Amino acid sequence: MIHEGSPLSVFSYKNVKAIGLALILSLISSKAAAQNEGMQREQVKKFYTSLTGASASRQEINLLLQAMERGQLFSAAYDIIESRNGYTSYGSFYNVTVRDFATPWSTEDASPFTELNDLTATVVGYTRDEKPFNEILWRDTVYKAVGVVFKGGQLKFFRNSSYPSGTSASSVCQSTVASDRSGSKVRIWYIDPLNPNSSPSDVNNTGCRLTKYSWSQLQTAFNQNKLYIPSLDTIVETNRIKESNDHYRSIENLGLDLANKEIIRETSQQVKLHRDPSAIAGLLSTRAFGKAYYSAGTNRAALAFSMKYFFCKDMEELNDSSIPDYRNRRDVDRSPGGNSTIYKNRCIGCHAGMDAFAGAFAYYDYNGGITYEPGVVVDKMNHNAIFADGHVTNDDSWINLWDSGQNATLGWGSVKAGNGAKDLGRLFASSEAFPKCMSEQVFKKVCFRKAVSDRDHAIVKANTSYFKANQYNMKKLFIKTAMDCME
Amino acid sequence: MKNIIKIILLSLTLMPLSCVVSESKKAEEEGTENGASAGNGNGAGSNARNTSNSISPLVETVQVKSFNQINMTMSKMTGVSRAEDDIRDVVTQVLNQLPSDNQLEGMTPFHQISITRLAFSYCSLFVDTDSEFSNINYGSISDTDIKDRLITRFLDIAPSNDPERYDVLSDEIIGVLENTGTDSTGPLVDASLGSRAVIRERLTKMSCTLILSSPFVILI
Repeated sequence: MIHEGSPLSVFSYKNVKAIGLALILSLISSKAAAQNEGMQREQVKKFYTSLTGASASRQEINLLLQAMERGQLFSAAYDIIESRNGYTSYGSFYNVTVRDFATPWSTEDASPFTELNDLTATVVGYTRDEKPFNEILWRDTVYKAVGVVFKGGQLKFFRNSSYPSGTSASSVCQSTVASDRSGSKVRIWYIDPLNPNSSPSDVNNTGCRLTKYSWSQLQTAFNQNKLYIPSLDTIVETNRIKESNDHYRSIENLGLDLANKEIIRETSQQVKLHRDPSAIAGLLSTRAFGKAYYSAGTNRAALAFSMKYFFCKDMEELNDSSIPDYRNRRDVDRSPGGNSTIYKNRCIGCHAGMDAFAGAFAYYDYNGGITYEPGVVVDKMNHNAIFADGHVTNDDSWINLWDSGQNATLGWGSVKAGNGAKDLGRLFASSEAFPKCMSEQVFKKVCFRKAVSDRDHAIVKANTSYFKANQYNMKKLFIKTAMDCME
Repeated sequence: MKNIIKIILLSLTLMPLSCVVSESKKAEEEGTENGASAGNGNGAGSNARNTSNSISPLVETVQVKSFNQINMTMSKMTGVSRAEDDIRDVVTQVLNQLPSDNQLEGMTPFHQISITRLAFSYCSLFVDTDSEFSNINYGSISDTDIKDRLITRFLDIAPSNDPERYDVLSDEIIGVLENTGTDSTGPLVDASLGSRAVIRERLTKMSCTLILSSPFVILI
């Protein structure tokens, strides 16, 4: 029997009912809270994967939940990307997400299995270094591994027990070698690749280290003038990027981290890819782009696939038969199958605008590497004179005929004409369609689906503006889009 | 190869669980609208509706990792470099048989076989080289201990936060470690392979493979 006033009197029927109700409510609310936490965990896991392609560890999930609670998801995303402050993504944002984002651009069939090349490395570099992405289509830029070549006097190797005396290397190595003179080891002296113009006698910009490579491996590397990366004690197959893709294949096979700013660095296309500065046009003059779009054919592919990858438009979508055809080349049959209506109704739609643009690529060809001779129109541009009165390409001038008609909606700037791929790249990059296309492709990459619903399109549109307002910062675009897809 | 096929079969058994749980969570989020229609549906019309309700949200909300994402995920989880010769060899062999994009509709059993092969390569190196797992006395450690270490190491699943999936996964891993196999396949590892420790180390690699190739890891 419980007496009134007793501490146990709270267990009266009425109170028990109230407590029971409270207990049930608290159980429901704790279950809801657990469900909510479970959903949040799933959300942040997906967010992490959308940025890195990898799975988050338990510790990373907890960090992300805390960041989300504090409203600091954006800065947490930066931490994930840069693998810092408790996040260990091993640069997978660059090595997987951005690389996969750009890889399809370097082949006509958009194969995701294409190996790393100068085009994809440059896209990764521009994103990593937060450079204005609208400049990537025309600036003098290409990213590659930086190291020291074996021939050229900036590197010497010698057996540890008999380092050369009286050379500049000896003074740098003498102190380190003195402590370990084991003859089975080999030592490398080098000029710091980040300061390649340093004097060999400058002890601050030279180094000396033991290497994992054998004497014979180093001799082979010397004979083939391979590239040595001192900080990793790693030999890259070649330093040359003009004639083959071996440099980038080697980077990939060695598992070099594209996030590493001291190893994968921006350099000039001049000398590395082109002798003539007028040939340089950002991605449009990379070897991978040339291999895909300047190889054989008529160089129209360079325009068609620029539209596909930088404007997100297939040629069929750009078909506009209202455009004048005075730049249509001679190889376009004006009466296919004896029926001129087909030409008027269908062929013109693509060729009128495309041929007017494609003159920009008149000096480019591909023969293992890009060839470019200023003032010399490649033969393939004027081959197959099916219609003798068609346009003959005499130089690399181009005209934008799509600034009127249906394709005016692509938002071209005020420039109507120009010369060469660099001018054309500038025109593309200044259009309204380019940032929108980037936003669309980033959406697809980090949201794992095409933008379909009204909400999806609203995100793409808003992030197009965001991209432009943030100096075309691709990294921020990725983060912002990934955050939008979480909601 | 025979063992890998067995692991593939086991990892596939986990697929419906992962998807169903995701789906039921989504149904809860949507106010059980799908669940209600499924429960009340009668006749051809409602069956058609049920079918579309059960498949399309799944495709929209669940994706599979692509080849690069899978490779990076396994590397990150195990701490084994993607540049290891053994890994590169397998990747070269199976690259075109791994998922090329994130669309779940494109996922086939061939993808699962290749994913499992790759997972085994990572797990083999992981168990051989990881500071924790390479120092285990496989002759004396209990199955439960191995199972707990693997789950704790690789997944964000615990009895407290996901009891349903935790139980199923635990059962599957213990099943592998007990080396009973299935009625049709027999033991996963032949007892004549070596000592108890050798066999159980191999079984640990297979358990690791089961996790790495499971939907918990390869689905997004």
